[in-house]
Amino acid sequence: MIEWARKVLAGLGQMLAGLDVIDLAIRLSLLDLLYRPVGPWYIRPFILLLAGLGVFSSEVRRSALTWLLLAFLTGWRVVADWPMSDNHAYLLCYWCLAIFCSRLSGNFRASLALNARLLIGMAFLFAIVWKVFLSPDYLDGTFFRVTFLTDERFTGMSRLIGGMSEKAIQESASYLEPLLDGAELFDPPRLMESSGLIRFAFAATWWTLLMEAAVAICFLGLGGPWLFTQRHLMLLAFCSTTYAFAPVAGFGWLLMAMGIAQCEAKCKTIKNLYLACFFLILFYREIPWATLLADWLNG
Amino acid sequence: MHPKTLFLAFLSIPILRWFSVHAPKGRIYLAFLPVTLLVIVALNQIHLAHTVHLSPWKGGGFGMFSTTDGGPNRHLRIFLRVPSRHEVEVPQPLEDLADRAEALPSDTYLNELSRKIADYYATEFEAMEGVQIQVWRTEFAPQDLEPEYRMIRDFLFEVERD
Repeated sequence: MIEWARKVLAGLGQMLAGLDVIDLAIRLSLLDLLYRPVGPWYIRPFILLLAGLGVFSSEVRRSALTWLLLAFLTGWRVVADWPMSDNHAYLLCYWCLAIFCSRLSGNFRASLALNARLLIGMAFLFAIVWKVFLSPDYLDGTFFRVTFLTDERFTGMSRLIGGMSEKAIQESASYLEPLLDGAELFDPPRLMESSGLIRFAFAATWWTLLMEAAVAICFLGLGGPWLFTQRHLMLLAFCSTTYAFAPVAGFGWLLMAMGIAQCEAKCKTIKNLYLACFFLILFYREIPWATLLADWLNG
Repeated sequence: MHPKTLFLAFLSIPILRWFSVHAPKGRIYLAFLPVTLLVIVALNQIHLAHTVHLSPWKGGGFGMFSTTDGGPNRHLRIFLRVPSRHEVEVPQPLEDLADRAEALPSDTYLNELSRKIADYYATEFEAMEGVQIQVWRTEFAPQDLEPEYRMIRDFLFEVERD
């Protein structure tokens, strides 16, 4: 058994060492398209076909035409769904376009790395602008307090970390949905928010804000050369923690692919960490770990 | 243009200039095409959010997970003027359009939705004079999260008679 594990690890190490960062970034981008197919039914088959062929054929994934088509199809999806597409649908389209433009730029690696930096940096900058300057209910913690009680995707976390029972979450969610025209029930639901949940919402508010600000500053090079060199660690810290809570794996995978695109060939550890984080996000998506843990702890 | 949008536009200029110095040699304009698109779309999203109440979660401005103003906290109320007000549900075939109108309650979407609702209920309510669509959002008090509805659009569509 130990011998088998040694062989597997050695084989894995050899395989990882042989992976070119740019090729890996592109393959992960294609895997993102395959894992989380996007668009209406008449666009989806073409995206899946191109992404599937690209994973297996180096000719397909190196072709500028492939990325022009993928940029067109992912962009078409955004236009067809307007204004309902999530933000990562836009980022996916920009990234496909970036790969296409980089293929034509004459300096593929440098252009792709620059695009990845700019896209991540600007996306996080706008996320910060919304949270700090434009949103009326983020900084005071209202957003996460409401979300942890009303969004079913966060129920496991509210139970595990916030110490809430399922009944208390359900009653609080009813309280947060008032009746129309000021009507009142004879026995109205109450807000049953634990102090643990309030603390958790406060921590989530500021952790998200600080991490997003750190990523924006590091990737846009606004904090000096030392912070710029720390950008990979910031992005990895953000993704490995945030996507344990946030149910948007597609965004996380895309960020991992874009992060790898900026790794220098000698940075093997960072490349491997990005790859590990890509699969960690897959784990977060597929295993309802918070709910399972909360069930186990509550007997 | 909203002052905050202008401020953000100015904010992006030094950043893009800084990167133009560090751009790879070759066709520089190609390297900046995707991020330029990102900035334009995001600024437009902020503009739409402030002018026609586009949900911050939508539109490519990266406002997701920043506010409760989105998804389940927005809803439509639809009244038929027959001639008194008669509230109706969103017909199932129009749910997709209703979702869009909820996220972006612009005249274009509300007009299209009203017209289709008028067509849908035309045989049932022959005396229909108009369709009124209200877009509401739920706001929460910071202390006790007490919810309160606030109307963000009130749109009236008059039915043309033959």
